[in-house]
Amino acid sequence: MCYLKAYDPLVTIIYFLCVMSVSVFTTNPILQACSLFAGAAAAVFLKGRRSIKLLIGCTAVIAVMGATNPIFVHRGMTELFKLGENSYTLESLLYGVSLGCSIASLILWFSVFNSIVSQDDILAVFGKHLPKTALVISMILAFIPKLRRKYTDLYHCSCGCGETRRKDLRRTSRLFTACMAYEAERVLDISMAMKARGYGLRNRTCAASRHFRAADLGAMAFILALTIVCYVYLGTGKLDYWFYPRLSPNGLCPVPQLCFFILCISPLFFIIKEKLIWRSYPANN
Amino acid sequence: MRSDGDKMKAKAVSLCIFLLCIPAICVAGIVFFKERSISFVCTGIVLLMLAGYFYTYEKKRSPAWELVIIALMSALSVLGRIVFAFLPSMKPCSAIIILTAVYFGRETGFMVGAFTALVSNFYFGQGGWTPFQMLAWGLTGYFAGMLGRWLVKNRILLLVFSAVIGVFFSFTLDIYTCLWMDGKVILSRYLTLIASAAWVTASYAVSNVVFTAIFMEPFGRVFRRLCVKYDIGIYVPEQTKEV
Repeated sequence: MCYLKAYDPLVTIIYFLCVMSVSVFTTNPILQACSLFAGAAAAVFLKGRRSIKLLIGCTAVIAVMGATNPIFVHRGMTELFKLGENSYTLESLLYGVSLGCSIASLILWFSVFNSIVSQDDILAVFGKHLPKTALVISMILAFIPKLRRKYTDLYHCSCGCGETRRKDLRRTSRLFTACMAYEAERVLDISMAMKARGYGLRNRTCAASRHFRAADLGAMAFILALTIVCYVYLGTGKLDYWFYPRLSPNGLCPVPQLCFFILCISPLFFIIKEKLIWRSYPANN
Repeated sequence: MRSDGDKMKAKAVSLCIFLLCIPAICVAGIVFFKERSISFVCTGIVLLMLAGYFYTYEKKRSPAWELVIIALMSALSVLGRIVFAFLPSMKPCSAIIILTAVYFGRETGFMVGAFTALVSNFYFGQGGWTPFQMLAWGLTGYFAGMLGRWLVKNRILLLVFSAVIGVFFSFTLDIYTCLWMDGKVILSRYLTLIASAAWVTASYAVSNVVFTAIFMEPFGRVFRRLCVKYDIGIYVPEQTKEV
């Protein structure tokens, strides 16, 4: 379906990280337009008719952000009309549109991400490269609500024992310590169970067997090179763009903008090529 | 199975990060980002140090209890931030990290600190400060683990250490504040910031001391018991040695 699917999921995830991070960090209108256009096109090609709702939603986001920003922000030199006491300025309108564009492009790219990268791919990447970190973070996120529930139980118990509902340092720390002591034993029992079932003997295996090939490395180098160019220019401030008090005259810098355009459009190139091959290749047997 | 070869490779990669990538980042920053170089260099160094530490940790073989203790103590310090929210500017995170590190070693301490910063910011807001906070709390745990042998025995030393580490934490985050203001770190401005944030620094130090004093006894008891019961940690109680 898509060229990104042909590569190792690590490459795919890095690609999306690169595109999304650049489109979040910039206010440059040309970069935003590239990201928005390529995201919309990829969504249309991947999802077909189902993408219409998404596109309408994104347009609505841009329109609402653009229309409402000047109501709250009155900065800017070019006044379009008066809204009560305050002026409704062009700069503020455009700033709202730009904000809406960055949100809309994130939504679009996330939907493309979801249709390309599956749960198994994510697990494969993190289970292969960061097994402990992924495990620990998911455990922490599971423990927090459990600990909170336990703490609330203990708090209610102590209220039931005749204490007031007052919060003070001594009582809270006593409950907190009790909570910790209880959970620590329970959790270490879990770790014993993990050990008994052979945790750490082998890495996690996943359904699809993949290998990191030379083509993957090439694609990754291509993606990273283009992104680094964008970031270097972003860092030097050549892509800075500002809206207040007047629209900034600079912001046009062809090299990184071309790079980012190629980066955004690269999946489309392969999608279209594949579609054309399917359509027009003669089946002469 | 992870062999010695893997361990050597992990060591080589982390050495590469510390000896090659960090100087490369410095040079690249000075060449490409002339007036903004310091912010780029600082952020790059912080990220690379975290990456290097996480990489070596991933490659190391660690038992299941260590991961579980890291997860539990990080979750507890996040809970502590929520539970003790009624006290203004008092957070038990550093105290919990220090006590964990003292009983379970410096690597566990580093990871607890780093994960506390990472996960608690899911609740309290992520931002550019996350890596700095991760490093600062990670190093808190690391130093506490390094000095753990003495800190276990001497309570006064533990309290003094927690006060000092609170000041260290505040100073590390001031670097970020300085960067955030306009992308430059100037020594005079950094000193001004430290002076203006003296109240925050003092509150960190005081809350560390208070919470360490409160938790020292009960946490120590629980940890000692766990160490004996499950045969974990670096703490070796005297009685079992004789038997």
